[in-house]
Amino acid sequence: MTEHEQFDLLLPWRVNGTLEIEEHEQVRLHTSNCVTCRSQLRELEELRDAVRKGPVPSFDAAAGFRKLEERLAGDAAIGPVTGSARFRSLPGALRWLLLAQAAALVLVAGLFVARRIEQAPVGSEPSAPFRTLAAPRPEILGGAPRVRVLFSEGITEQELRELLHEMGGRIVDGPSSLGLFVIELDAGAVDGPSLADRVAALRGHDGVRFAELVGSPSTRP
Amino acid sequence: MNLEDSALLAAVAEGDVQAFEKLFLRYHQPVAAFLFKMTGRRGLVEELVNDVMVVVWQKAQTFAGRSRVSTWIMGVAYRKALKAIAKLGRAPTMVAVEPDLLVDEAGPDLDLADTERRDQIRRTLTKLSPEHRAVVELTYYLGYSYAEIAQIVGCPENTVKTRMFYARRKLRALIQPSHTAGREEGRTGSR
Ligand SMILES: [Zn+2]
Repeated sequence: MTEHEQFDLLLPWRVNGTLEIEEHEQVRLHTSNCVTCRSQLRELEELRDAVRKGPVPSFDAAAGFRKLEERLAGDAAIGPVTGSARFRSLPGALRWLLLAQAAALVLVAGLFVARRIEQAPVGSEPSAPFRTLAAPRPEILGGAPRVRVLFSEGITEQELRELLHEMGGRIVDGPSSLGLFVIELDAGAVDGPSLADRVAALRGHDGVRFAELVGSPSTRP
Repeated sequence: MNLEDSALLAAVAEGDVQAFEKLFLRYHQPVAAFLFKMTGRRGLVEELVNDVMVVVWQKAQTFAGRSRVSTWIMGVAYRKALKAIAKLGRAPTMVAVEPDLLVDEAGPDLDLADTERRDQIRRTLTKLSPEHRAVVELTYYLGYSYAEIAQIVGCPENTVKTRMFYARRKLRALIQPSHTAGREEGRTGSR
């Protein structure tokens, strides 16, 4: 490969300004002495402008996100929350959670006490919505508690079974598009440690990325 | 809050929906535009973007940080685009699609000859293979370096350079009328 050919390969990125300093300098030096490269640069600038200034529709990102939510809701066969107007009126994260509930996932949480850890690791940012939303509410006690869970990528079926057994829960729905499951806890687990503690323990499990108590639709006020 | 992409993605990996929404909003337009430029079908784009973002949500935990978040997301978009194009059986033209929805970024000061020339170049771009076209779009629409493009499309840097080289050659052959063909060649020494 001649020197010209070598630098010619790099010209496109000289034109978009992304060459590393050293390469940029080499190309600049070569180009200053090479008529062909200079004319190539002009062609490439023309190409750059054509691409950059080409017509592109404007897309509505917020609407896109709502569509994603709706798509998720569509995945879910169940759940009391179907009216999109109701979604709109809620804060984003809560909307999301209700949506996931509609999608019905869930799993479990129950007897997870043994593995209880001090603090839930999920949502460790102060602003993360899960913290507050995760706080179990007493009214849920009227029915079998359900937990929405996102398992880790690497969890094996065996580990999942053990986890469920340990928790005294069973999968009642999922996975949604986002990979969330809904686990329903054995009724017997309800009068053990608080639900909050069980959910926190669940979050501490290696195989769990996210766990959130959800109200059973029939008992939610 | 103006979190870095990597911090946002780390939060997404932990299941933080709010972080996910932020990342979604941040990347929606560039990803959508890229998908539109690749497929030429506006009607496909919304769903494709969401396909991409679902992968981001699901795979955030596997993001190893070897590349920038942006190149990782664009890589997902690139693969979705190739799949969609394969499904369509061809890469459709973008110019003729729903013109009323198109927003031309060109200013009014542009003269007609320039405009026509650019249109011609853009029409010709649609004749490139999706792989070659992607390199052109990633370079000039999204402004990536060849190293970043190599990460996005998952090939060696030299392959990116040669794809661009062949894309240029094809564009030149198609765009320049025969009477000027070879005008600026210099490299082939065929004459
Ligand atoms: Zn040269």
